[in-house]
Amino acid sequence: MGDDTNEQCEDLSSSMLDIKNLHVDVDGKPILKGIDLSIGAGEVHAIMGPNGSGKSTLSYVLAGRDGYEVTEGSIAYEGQDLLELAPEERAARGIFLAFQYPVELPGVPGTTFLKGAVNAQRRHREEPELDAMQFLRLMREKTKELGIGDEMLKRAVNVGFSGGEKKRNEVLQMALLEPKLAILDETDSGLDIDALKVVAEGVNLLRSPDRSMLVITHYQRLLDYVVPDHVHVLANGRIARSGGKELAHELEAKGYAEFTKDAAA
Amino acid sequence: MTVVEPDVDPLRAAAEAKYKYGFVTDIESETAPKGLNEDTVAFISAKKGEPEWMLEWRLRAYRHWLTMQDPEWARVKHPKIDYQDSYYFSAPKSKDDAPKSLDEVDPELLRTYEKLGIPLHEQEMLAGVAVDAVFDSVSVATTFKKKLEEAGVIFCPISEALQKHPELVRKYLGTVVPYSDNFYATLNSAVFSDGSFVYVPEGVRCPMELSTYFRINAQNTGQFERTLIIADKGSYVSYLEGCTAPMRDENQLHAAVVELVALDDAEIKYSTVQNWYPGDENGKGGIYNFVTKRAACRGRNSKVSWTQVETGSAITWKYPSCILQGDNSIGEFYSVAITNNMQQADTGTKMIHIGKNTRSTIISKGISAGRSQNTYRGLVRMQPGASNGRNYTQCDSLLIGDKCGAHTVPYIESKNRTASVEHEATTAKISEDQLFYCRQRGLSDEDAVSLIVNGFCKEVLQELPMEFAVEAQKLVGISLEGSVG
Amino acid sequence: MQQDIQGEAALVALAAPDQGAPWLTDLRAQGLERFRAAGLPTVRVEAWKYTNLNPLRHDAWQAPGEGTNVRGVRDTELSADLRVVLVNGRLRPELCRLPRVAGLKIDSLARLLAEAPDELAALLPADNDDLPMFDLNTALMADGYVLRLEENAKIDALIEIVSLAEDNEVPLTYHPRHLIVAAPGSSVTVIERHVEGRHRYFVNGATQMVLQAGANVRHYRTVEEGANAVHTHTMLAHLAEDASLECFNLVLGGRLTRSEAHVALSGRGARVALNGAYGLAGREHCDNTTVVNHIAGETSSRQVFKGVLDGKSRAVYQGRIAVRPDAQKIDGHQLSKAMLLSDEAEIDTKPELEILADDVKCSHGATAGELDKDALFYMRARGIPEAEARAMLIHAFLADAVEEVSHDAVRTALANRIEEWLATKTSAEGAAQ
Repeated sequence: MGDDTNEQCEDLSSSMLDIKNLHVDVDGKPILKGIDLSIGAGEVHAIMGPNGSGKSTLSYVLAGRDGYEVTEGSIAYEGQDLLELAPEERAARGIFLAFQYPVELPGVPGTTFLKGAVNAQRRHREEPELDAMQFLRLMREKTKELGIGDEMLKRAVNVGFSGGEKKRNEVLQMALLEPKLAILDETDSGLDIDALKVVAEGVNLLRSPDRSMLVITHYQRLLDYVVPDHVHVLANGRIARSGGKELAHELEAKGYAEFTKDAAA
Repeated sequence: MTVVEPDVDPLRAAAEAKYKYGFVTDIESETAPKGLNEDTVAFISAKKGEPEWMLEWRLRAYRHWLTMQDPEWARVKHPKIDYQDSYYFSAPKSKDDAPKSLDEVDPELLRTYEKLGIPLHEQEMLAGVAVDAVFDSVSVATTFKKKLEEAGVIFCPISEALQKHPELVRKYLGTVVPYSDNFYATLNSAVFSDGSFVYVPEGVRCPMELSTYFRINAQNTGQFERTLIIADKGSYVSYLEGCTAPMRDENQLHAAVVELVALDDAEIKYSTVQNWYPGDENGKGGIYNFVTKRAACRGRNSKVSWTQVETGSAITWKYPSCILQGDNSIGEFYSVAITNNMQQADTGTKMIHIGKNTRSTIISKGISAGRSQNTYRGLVRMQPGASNGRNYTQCDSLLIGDKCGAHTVPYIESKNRTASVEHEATTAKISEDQLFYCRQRGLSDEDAVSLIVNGFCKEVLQELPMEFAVEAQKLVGISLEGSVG
Repeated sequence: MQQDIQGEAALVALAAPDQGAPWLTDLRAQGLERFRAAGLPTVRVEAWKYTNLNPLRHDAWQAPGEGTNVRGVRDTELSADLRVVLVNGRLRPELCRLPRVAGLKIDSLARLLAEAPDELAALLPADNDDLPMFDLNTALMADGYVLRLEENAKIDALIEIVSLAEDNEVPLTYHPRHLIVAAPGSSVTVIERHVEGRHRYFVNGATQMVLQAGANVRHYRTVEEGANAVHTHTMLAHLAEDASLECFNLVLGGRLTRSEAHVALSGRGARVALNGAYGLAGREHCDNTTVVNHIAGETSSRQVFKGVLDGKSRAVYQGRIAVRPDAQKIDGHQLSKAMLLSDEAEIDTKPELEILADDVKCSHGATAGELDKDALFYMRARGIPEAEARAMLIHAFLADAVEEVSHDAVRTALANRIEEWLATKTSAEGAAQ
């Protein structure tokens, strides 16, 4: 027992994110039933799984959304208890969630929104806030890097955006906010192959040794472009199997039937 | 164990939203005796050195007022007002009559403006705005007179206009809001103290935005401003009205009347940011703002646009309206009304279409928080002669918290086949998805609410002149402080 | 002035001391007292701002007699196997078709009041404020139908209620009171047809509905009263949890009609649809007033009213959606659309929202305007004569409202009825041109 604890501590110190035996209820119904997952700095992990397996629940719990009740287990982020923190505190510490369904904010210009977000993080890091000109410069730099036009940012956030535009906007926000842990929740859903490539290239540009990523997806095709270090299969609220990137290909060939059957049994 | 602790639930708990501008300026007042009777009316008129006809008009109003009852139809509650327990006239003492430049203005007063963030000389220099500052009912400073004079624009206290341009005042005063119009307007007609007068001559585009800052200061002094703006043929004027008031415990009545007249091809843009003391979080104190604002679009192709951002006052009761008499005339009403804590607002507009091809647009955004009640009340009427009249109304309410109320009471009347009326209204609570999205990006509860509400109000705020828009955006955030915890 | 009081006084004078149960005598007395205190509503009363009851004020109203002078009941597309016939507000068993149906009881109110009044003691008293016409009905009600459903009774057959007015030389008034009590899990569909009478009459009906948990009631009305008739009706409905009420009010005739519906959604999951359409001409006046009270959470309501106005007619729609404190997760939607066909017609709309909870989605929309000129031109350019094109557009406009009716046969019948009404109207218009 004593040795175990020590090992865990060591894991913790080297991990960006450490999820232990996580149980989560939504509306009183258990959705996650004991997740264990550890993500090291700079690692890219993919979570795959059939619909309803709890993938999005996991992303919302990490970001701190209301209505997701952790009944058991823990999440440590940079060695600190994540569950104690409000969503904006998590964001300030570098957790970024690319939403599966990015929310529309009518009347709120993209630049106003992002400047507020960037400065909130800078305040947290005790860095001076950017003024309008400095922010504009930063924004131009990032849009250029990503090859994404900045006309999206002049419009109200996500309002009237196509599916592809919404997802590109999420990646652009990620580039500006430079998270330590990026969670991509079904970022590929609803994208055609061209849009998928643009988004994937953006994500790849942001890969770096001190940035971890958790890529949640139903299909393997995104993983052709964003190649993960580890792949986990989430089924029925548990991680049913873990492996390297080849696991994604295996799933593509065999489907999830094996795992859903296990779950039912 | 929950993911998010209750104390950071953005929709719960209500802390106090502090009134930033709460302080009192100490200036001696020259005050009429308490109470209201024909002598009070005569005292006010004499104090102003008014012509005889003006006194008679006031007295007619007073006698008519005696026959009237406080209106009870609005969705507001307050203890009955004792009109005999108020002072009806007070003026700050000045050394010799009116000051001729800023140097002559009471330094105490100037300091007050500075605390409010509206330093007069800075405005004069930077913004190019002429300020006719009403302080305790009497205008004490008027700037940029010269530039306006060159353009032929008359912009002065109405008391001065009664001396210098009595024929203009007599021709238009009470023609849009008659002295018998409603309880508060009639009271105002009897005892109005001062206010602004604007006349823009034919074909003149007023060279600057005109602005007046109203303040309520002396204890127990009802405020009865009277504003009259006339835009002659083919002229244009933009008028800004901004209000802040010092913190007081006793309720203060404010019953202003604003009359606008637009002749052929003339346009008036009237913008208001109202941030009077709303009372504390238990509903103690605060201003009663019972205002009658009405515009007559008398001329062909005339246009009047009302924009208001109402965040203050314990009770707001106002319906800036347009009577669209001239063919092709246009009326607009853009409104943001925010109520928090125990505030009550019953506000909206009336668009009366009389002439042919008249058009009106109503955009109303109501935001309720705390235990407040927020009502939109509006009338759109197409008279039989309003052929091809058009109205579009969009009326949205946003609820923050489950102890407040949002109400919509539109009256839509059409007596013309070719007229078209379109009305849409929605009520919903502030979206949890939007709040969470903002917070995931690192914004605090309050910043998120401010951002979302500003977005909700954008169509209205963008109608404000630039210098007002910035102030108004800040006010939106300040007004909702404490509405989320 | 003297004349004004005549109509009201005549109505009050019709109230007679009741020989029935003490609770009933009290109830009538209270109704009369409240009506006398309020008087016939005037336009100074907010709820009656747009509907002037002047057509009631000048007549010496009398109660009907036996009602022998009736023509037979014509069968229409809406006729059904189960039929209740009322003449002058009185249920006439000899004209009814009432085969025995399991789980369903249909009685005459008059008979129940005479023979088993206590069965109604808990049902008739209504908790109401400011409803003077309902109070008048309470004071003067003589008969009506009482429809009761047993638990889980699912009545598939359509029930037709035909309301006839006797031809008579004197101005008659009657005040039928109907009751629908649906036990838990029961369901029924009722169509009421109010058929035109030639003479002057004033019918002031009231319907009380109690829908217990999970009950499902569809209640449709067609109002085609005579050109001299005044028709006022007040519906009060209480819905328990998961109960569902669907109403449709089609008004195609009557000098003055006012249909008021007050619905209390008292149980979680209750939902109501109050819809209607109207076609008006001449000096007809049609008022639809709906009040929905969301008392319990997770309740929903919907109102859609569409109408066309010709001649000097006037339509009124007043709709209020009220959400009580703590009634969360509410959906309330309201739409009023009016098409003006003449220069002298008028539409007045007052859609109100009164919201005292925050987790709500409520909306209302209102439009008024004329026929779509572009559409008309397009059709004429394709060779369709103007009158025909107009009729097609008007029909499309009204038929859209009828789409809200979920009962297939009734929906078809109502759409056909509108088409017939349009045919007579447009042919008259064509003749006039």
